[in-house]
Parts: sequence; C-alpha cells; structure tokens
Amino acid sequence: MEMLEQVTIRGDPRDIYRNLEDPACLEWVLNQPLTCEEITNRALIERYLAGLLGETEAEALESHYLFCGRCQDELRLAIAVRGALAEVEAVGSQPPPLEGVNAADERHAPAESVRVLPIRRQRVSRRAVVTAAAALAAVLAGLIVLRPSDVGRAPVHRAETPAAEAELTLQLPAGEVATVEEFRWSPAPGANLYKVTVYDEAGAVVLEVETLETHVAPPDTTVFAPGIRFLWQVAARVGWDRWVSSELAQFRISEP
Amino acid sequence: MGSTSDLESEELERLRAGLQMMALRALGDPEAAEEVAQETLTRVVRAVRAGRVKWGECLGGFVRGIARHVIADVFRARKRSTGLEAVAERANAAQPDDPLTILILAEEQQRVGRALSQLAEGDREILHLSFFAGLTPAEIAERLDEPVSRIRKRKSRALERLRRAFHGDAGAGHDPG
Ligand SMILES: [Zn+2]
Repeated sequence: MEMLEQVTIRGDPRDIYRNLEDPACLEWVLNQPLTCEEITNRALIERYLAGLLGETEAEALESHYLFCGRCQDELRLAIAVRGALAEVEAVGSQPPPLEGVNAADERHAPAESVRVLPIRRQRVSRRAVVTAAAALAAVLAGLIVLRPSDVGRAPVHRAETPAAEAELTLQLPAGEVATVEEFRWSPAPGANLYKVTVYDEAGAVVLEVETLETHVAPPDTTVFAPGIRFLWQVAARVGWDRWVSSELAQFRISEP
Repeated sequence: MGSTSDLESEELERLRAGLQMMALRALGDPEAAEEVAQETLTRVVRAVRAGRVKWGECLGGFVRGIARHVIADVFRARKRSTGLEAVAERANAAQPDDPLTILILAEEQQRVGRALSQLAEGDREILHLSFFAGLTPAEIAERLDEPVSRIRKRKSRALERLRRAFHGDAGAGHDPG
C-alpha cells in the first residue's frame, strides 16, 4: 500500500544523499528526522494537539507531517477523536480525568500536577463564548469593571456560583511586564483544581492550563507577543462541577 | 497552474494540506491559514525552480521555516487590524468551536463519535488522558497502575476502531496487526 511507503523514505533512499548538497536536506538527515512509528510511540500528535510539545519536538513533528500523508491522516483522526471526547464529556457521561483516576493520589502528584488543556472550545456553550467575548470587548473598551460573576464562568462550569466564594485574586503577571515566567494567584478556599485561561486582544483563547498549584508556568510553545494586551483569569474548582472565577486581569509584554 | 508540472501535484496538495493544518493551529483562522499555505507554497516552489533546494520530504524543515515566517507576518498584520470591532464581530460570529475541526467532515466526526461511545469506559479514559492530558502510554500506565504494554495495546486497539470509523471502514480494511 503506497501509504506505507511514503512514511519512511519515498522512492530510492539514495535520493537523500543525492540531495545532500542542499543545506536543508543535510540538516534533515543529520537531525535524524522522525518516523511515523516514533511519532506514534511518543504520542507526539496527541501532545501536539494538547499544546504540550516543546519547540524542538513541534518543529520535528511539523517538518515531518508537512510531507507525510499518513501522519496528516492521523492528525485529522486525532482532531476528530478530541472532538468526540469533548462531546462525550460535555454530555456529562464521563467524569473529568482527575476524578476518574486514583483520585486519592491526586493531591500530591507534582509531576502531573499541571495539565495544559487543549483550546477546547467544544466544552464551552455557544452562549458562554458569546458572553465572555462580549464581556472582553467591554473591558477592552474600558466600559466596565468586571466582577467575578460577570464573565469567566469557566467553560466547564454548569452550576451557579455564589459570588461570595469568589475569593480568587490574580497576582502575576499584571500590567506591563518583560516576560511571563509564571501565572500566580491567591488560593481559593477549598479549591482542588485551578484552570487558567488567557485571552488575546481579540478575545481568542491563547492558553488554557489546569493545575493543582496556585501558580503555573506557561509552556514554551505559548508565545506572548510584545505589545499585545492579554487578559487572563483563573477558575477554581471548589466542588464537584462547581467553579468560582477570579476577575479578569490584564498584562502586556513590553516591546523591546 | 501548469507551472508546477515538474512537481507532482499530489505531493503539492499534500504539502498544502499540511501547511493548512500548521497555520490553522497557529492562527485559528481558516482564511488566514489558506493564505499562509498559498504564500508558503509559492515561496517554496520559487526556491525549487531557482535551484536553491531540491524537492522532497527532506525539505520539511525548510518549508516549515518559511511557513513560520509567513505565519508571523500574518500574525503581525492581523494584530494591526485587530480592533474592538473585530472583537465584537468575533463575539457574534458563529464560528466552529475548535478551529481545527474545520478539517473534519461532519460525517467523519459523527462516525468517530459513535465509535467512541461504543468503547469501554476504561478505553475512553485512556484516550482522554492521551489526547487531553497529553500523557504517554508509560505515564498513563503509571497513573493507572497497569503494565505499559497493556495500556499501549488498549490504546492502539481503541484508536484502531476509531480510525476505521473515521475512514468509514466498518468492518474489514486496515489490518489491526
Ligand atoms: Zn508520518
């Protein structure tokens, strides 16, 4: 089947060496490019779509799938699987992963205490998206000062949240900053999970991360471009399917 | 058109599809992604024609580098043109939830959804940990306290079912190996 041929080296392997006068090709050979099998074994596509690949791995994967039909198919499959999983979850027939697995062991699991979520808009109701975006627009226009209950019903949020519980205060980053090394906030009483969401000026979600801590470093795959205003918010899960949200805070990376 | 006769159009189309995925993931906007794919392809073909590089998959890194530049250009241009109107417009636009889902046909999505609902809960859990938490089979194994080989097998079996559903292949077809 031709699909399987193109996964390794299409045609005569000596073609590679014939092309070695090309710097790009030489580099490709020296860098020991990925094979499809390796991509599968290292769950690179899954991690790529989950926003968890570092720059080096992302570069290797992208350089590979640009020319690999099989991996492009696998990417599309992965996108469909993520969509289907999100749908199942939205219906609520499946517990969130942190409860599903060894919930008791979750409390102190430093290595796995941070999860970068895919930008999973499937879980957000259309209404919630519109509300959040409209609120963002108003904030950007300087029209309103947000109260915790105004926006940021976290996407997974379904229950009503008593405003009194919204004690979350965002600490860093704030205002004009040189870099974003981490996001930091005050602990919310009884919170067992936090979700950080960062929006760009257009109201698009640029980062969604879950963590058990009250601080989290953005993955290096997330680039905060200088000069752009970002808004961020933390939601804390304080019970089964109950979330409280912080206010939105702004930051901006100073231009060099 | 026609000017790429020495390059196989099938290969070019594959590359275009790959570029669209890459740009869509970076920019979240199908129109911009198409623009990036087209511009990148143009530059690549120009480089091949000029004899600066030779066509083939070892161009992956080269093409990706060009695409990154083009994406950065588009990003900057969009930043300039992003105003409050755009925000408001976006708030009202009925855009698809995950921008990448635009690459998936409705029936493909439905078939995968149906197949997923037929999987055992534990298998769905493994897929969830893979696709959303981004855990490798080894990490999942540790977490679920099961042998890696077992997790790997369950995952690949579950994925194989979804893959068949995705390709509209109900029964035979891919050898599950
Ligand atoms: Zn491949």
